[in-house]
Amino acid sequence: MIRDRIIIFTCSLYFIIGLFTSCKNTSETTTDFSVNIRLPSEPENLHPMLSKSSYGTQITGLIMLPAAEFDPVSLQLSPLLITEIPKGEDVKEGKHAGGKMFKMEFRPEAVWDNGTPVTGEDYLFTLRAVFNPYVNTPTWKSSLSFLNEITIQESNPKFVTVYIDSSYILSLEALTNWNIYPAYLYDEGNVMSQFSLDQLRDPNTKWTPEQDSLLKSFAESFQSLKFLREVSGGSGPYQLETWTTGEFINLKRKDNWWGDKLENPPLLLQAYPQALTYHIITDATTAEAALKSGRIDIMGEIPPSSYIKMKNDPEWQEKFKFESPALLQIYYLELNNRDSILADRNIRQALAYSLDYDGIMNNVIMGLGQRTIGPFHPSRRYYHKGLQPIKQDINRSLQLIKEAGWTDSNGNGTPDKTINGKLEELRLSLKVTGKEEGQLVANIIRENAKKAGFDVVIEVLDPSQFNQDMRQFNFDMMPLRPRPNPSMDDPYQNWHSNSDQAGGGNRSGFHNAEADEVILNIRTATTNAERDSSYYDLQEILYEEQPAIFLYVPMERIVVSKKFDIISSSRKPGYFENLFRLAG
Amino acid sequence: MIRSLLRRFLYALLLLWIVSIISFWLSKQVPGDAVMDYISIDDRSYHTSVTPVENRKAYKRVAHQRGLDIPEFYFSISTRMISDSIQQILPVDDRNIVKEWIYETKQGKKSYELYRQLISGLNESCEQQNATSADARLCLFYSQSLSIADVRIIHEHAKSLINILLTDTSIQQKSLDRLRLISNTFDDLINGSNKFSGIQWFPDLRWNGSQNQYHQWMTGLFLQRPLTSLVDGRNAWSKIYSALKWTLLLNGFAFLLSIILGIFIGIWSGTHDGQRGERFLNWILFALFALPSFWLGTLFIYFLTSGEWLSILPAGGLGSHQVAGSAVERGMILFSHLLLPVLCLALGSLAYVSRQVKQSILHEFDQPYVGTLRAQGISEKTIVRRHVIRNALFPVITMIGGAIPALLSGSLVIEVIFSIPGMGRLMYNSLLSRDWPVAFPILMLCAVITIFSYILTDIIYKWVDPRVKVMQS
Repeated sequence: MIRDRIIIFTCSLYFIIGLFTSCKNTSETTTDFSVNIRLPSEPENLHPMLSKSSYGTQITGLIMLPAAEFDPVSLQLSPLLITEIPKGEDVKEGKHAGGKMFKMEFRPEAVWDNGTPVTGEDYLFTLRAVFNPYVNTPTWKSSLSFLNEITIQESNPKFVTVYIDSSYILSLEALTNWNIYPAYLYDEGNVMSQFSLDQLRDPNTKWTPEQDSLLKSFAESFQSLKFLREVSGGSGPYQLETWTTGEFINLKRKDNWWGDKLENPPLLLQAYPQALTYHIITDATTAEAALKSGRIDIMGEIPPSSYIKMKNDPEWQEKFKFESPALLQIYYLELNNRDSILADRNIRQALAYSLDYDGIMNNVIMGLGQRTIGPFHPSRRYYHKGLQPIKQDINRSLQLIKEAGWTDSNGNGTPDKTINGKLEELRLSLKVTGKEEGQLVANIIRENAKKAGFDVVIEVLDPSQFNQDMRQFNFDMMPLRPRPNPSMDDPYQNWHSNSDQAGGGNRSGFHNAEADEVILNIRTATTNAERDSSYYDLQEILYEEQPAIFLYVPMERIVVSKKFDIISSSRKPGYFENLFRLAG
Repeated sequence: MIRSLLRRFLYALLLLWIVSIISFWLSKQVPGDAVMDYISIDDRSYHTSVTPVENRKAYKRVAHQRGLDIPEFYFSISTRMISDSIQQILPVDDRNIVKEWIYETKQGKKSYELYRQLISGLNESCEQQNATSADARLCLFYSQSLSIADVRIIHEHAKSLINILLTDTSIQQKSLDRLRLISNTFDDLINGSNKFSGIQWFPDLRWNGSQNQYHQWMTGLFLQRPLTSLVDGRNAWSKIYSALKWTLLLNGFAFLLSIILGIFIGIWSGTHDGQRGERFLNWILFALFALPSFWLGTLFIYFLTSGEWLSILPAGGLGSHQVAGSAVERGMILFSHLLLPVLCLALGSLAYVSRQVKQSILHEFDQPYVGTLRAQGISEKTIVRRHVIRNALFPVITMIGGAIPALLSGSLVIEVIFSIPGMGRLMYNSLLSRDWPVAFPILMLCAVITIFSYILTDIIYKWVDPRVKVMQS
C-alpha cells in the first residue's frame, strides 16, 4: 500500500516537473541559434570606460567596437570601424613638427543603432568624455594623454587625422584600441562639443562656473545608472536586450548588422548567433551540471583537475569538445630586490635553482601550461628561444648560497650572514591570497627551497591587503600573474629603474643600467630587427639577474558543446562568442 | 505590560545603536585601502600606466564619491604630534608615509610642510605639457620621495639631484628654488628631531562634528536617503528589495515545509514513540540533519540535474521566468528551479523541528491533566487532538520567532550553489567588494528584524499562554 503511494507520488512529481520544465522551446535552425555562456561573476556595468571587470569587457566588446582590435587568431591589430590600420607619417612642419601623423578613415558602412554613420566626431567625443575632469577614467586618461590633436575633415567627417608629438612603441594601439562611444546617445545635449580637447587636456584650464556646471552635469549623466546598466548602445553586432541582476544578461544580434555588408569582414565583425545569453553561475559544480544538462553551451576557467577529469571521461567526450589555448598570461614569482637578502643576485639565482618546476607544472596546473624564461610570452616573435627554462638543481643552489657568504653559524639549520652589522637568517616571506593556485605554488616553493636552506614563511592575506603590500613594496616574494596585451611589450613600466616609484610598475625594484639602456632602445627602435635584438638582450639580462622567477604560461580550460564549432584564442576568455557556428 | 514593552523597545534601540557602531568600527579594520581597491581592481594597466598626479586625482575623486575623505567618527584620538591635518592627506598611502616621517622626526608641522612642498613639486613637474629632461627627473624624484619612509634617504636624493640639475640647461629657476626649499625643510626636520618633548606623545581628543563617515551613514540609513551601490551604481534599497524577494520565497517555502512536515512528523513520532517505524524515521531525520546543506545541494545537482543519474530538474538559477507567457507558466518555472534549494534547506531543519515537537508531545503526555482526561474516559485521539497538541505547540512559536531573521538574511551557501540572487549572496558580494552602502543596510535590517522578532515572540507567547507572566523587576 505504502509502496503504491510512493510510486504514485514519484510519478506525479516527475509528471509535474516534466510539465514545468518542458515549456522552453529549444528548436533551432542553422541560421537562428543562440549560445548560452557561463559567467563566474557578474560584471558591475556595461560601460567600457568605467568597467573594471574582464567579463564586462567581454560583453561590451560585442556592443561597442573600437576603431581596431586584436584579431583572435593572428593577434595583430585588425581594423574594425576603420578601413585600414593607419601608418605613421613624419610631421615636418607646424606645431607638431618632429611628431607623427596618423590618418584614419571610418568605414562607410559603419553605423550606430539609429542608422547614423560612425564618424570622427564620435571619436573626438569619446576623447572629450575621457578628459572631462569629472569623468573618473584615470587609466584611459593616461593612455590617451599623448594624442595631441585630432582633426576631422570638414567635407567628410569619416576622415580623421591624429597627431602625436612623441614617438611611442604602442602608439597604434593607443590610437585605435579603445571603444568608441556614440555621441548622439551619450551626449544628447551635445554638451561636450562646446569644449576643445586642448582645453580639457590642460590641467591648468580655468573653467567658468557655467562651463564647470556643464562638465559636471555631463559627467553625472555619463556615469549614471542609465548608461552603466540600462543603455549600452554602440556600433557592434549585438545589442543589450535584458539584464536580470544576478541571473543573466541577454544580447540580441542586430537585425541590420552593418558588418554583413562587408565582403571580407574581419573575424570580429562576423556574428553568427542570433542571441547570446550569459548565465551568472558562481559555483563551479553547478556550472558543470548546467553544462552537462545542456543549460549552458560553453564554460571556461575550469579548474585544471576538473578539466582533466572531464576530458578523460567518455561521457563528456561524447557531448563536448575541449579547448586549451595558451593564455596571454605569465605566472611568476616577484622578488623584492630591495630586500637585504634578495638584493644579492646569487641568492636570487639560488632560489631559482631550488624550485621544483616539474612539481609545480604537474601538481598545480596538471600540465596545462608551458614553462617560460622571462616576462615575454612564448608566442611572441621576440621570445628568446635560446634560453632554456631553469631546472631544479639543489647542489647548484647550495653552492650559490655558499658563494654568497651564507653559512649556518649558529647551528639552527638555516644559513645566516651578517648584513649591515646584523645577523640575518636566510628567511623569506611569501605572500599569497586565498586563491588555491597561489597557495599550491607557495607550498611547493617552501618545501623545495627548504632543501637548499631557505626558510620560506607563507603568509595568506586578504586580497586587499595583498594589493596594498604589493603597492607599497612591502613583501619579499609574491606570486603574480599579469596579462600582457596582444600588442608588443613595453618593458619600461616593469623593469626600468625609473619605474621604481610609488604606484610604479617596477615592483621588484630592479635597477640595472644596462637593462635601462636596452629598454629605451626597445622603445625607440625604428625597425623590428633592431627592436627584437634589444628584446633578446633584455631577456638575457633578466635571465642572468633573476629579479623575478618566471614560472609558466597557463592554458585556458574551455569545454564547449559539440553542437558548435568555435575558434579558440590566446585572448581572454579564450573563445569569441560571435564566431560560434553550428557544427557540421 | 506597556511599561515592559516600552522598556524592551528602548533596550532594542540601544542594542541596535551598539550593533551599528561595532559593525562600522569593524568595517574600518578591514586591511588594505578600499579606495585603491575600487580604482584598480581587475585593471591590470592601472599601476603601470597612470601618472602619479592622475593617480592622486582619481583617488580623491573616488574617496569623495564614497564619502571616505571625511573623518570616520564624531571624535578622533591621536598623539599631539599628529594633528588634524593628517586626515586630509589622501591617498592613505601618502598619509601613512607622512606618519612615518612624523614618528621618525617627531615633528608634525614640518612633516606636513614637507609633504605639501613635495606634492606641489609633483603637480608642477609631472603635469607639464612639454616636459623637459629636468621635469622628468623632478617628477621621478617627487614621486619616489612620496614612497620613502626614511627622510634622510630622501634628503640625500634631493641633494644629489640639485647637483645634477645645476648642469641641466632645461631646468627652470623656480623648480630649482623649490628643490632648495625642500632641502632646507629636510635640514630643519632632521636637525629638529632632537628637540622632542615627551608631551607630544600625549593623546589628543578632537571633535569632528557631524561631518563624519558614521554620521553620514546613519542619517542616510534613517532618512532612507538614496544610498547608491559603489559597485554598480544601483540604488542600494532596490538591490536589497530584489534580493529579498528571492530569499523570502526560498526560505519562506523551506520554512513552511520544515514547520508543517516537522509538526506532523513530531506529532506522529510523539504518539508512536519507541515503535520500529518511529525509530527508523528518527534515524533518517538525523542522517539528513547531519548532512551539511551544501553537500546535500551538491549531491542533488550532481544526481538530479546533470544527467549523471537523472536530469529532471534545472541545475540552478531561476530560469527564464521573466519571459514566461503566463503567471502559471512563471510559477511552474520558478517551482522547478526552487524545488531543490527549498528541499536542501527544509530537510536539514526537519529533524530539529520534529524533535522539538516530539519532546513537547511526550512532555505533555506526562502532565497530570492527561491522566485526568484518560480517567474521564475521553478517547486517546481526542486527548491528543484537543489537548496535547495544542499545548505541545507552544515551543513552535519560539522556533518561528527564531527563524524569522534567518528568513531574511538568506542562506549564502545554498544561494551560491544554486545561483539564486538572494540576500546571502548579495551580502557576501557586498562585503567582498566593500560595498558598504549595500552591506550596512542589510546588516542593520537583519539586526532590526532579529531583535524585534524576539520581542514579538515574547508578546505572542504571553498572549497565547496566559501562564507566562510579565516579569516585573
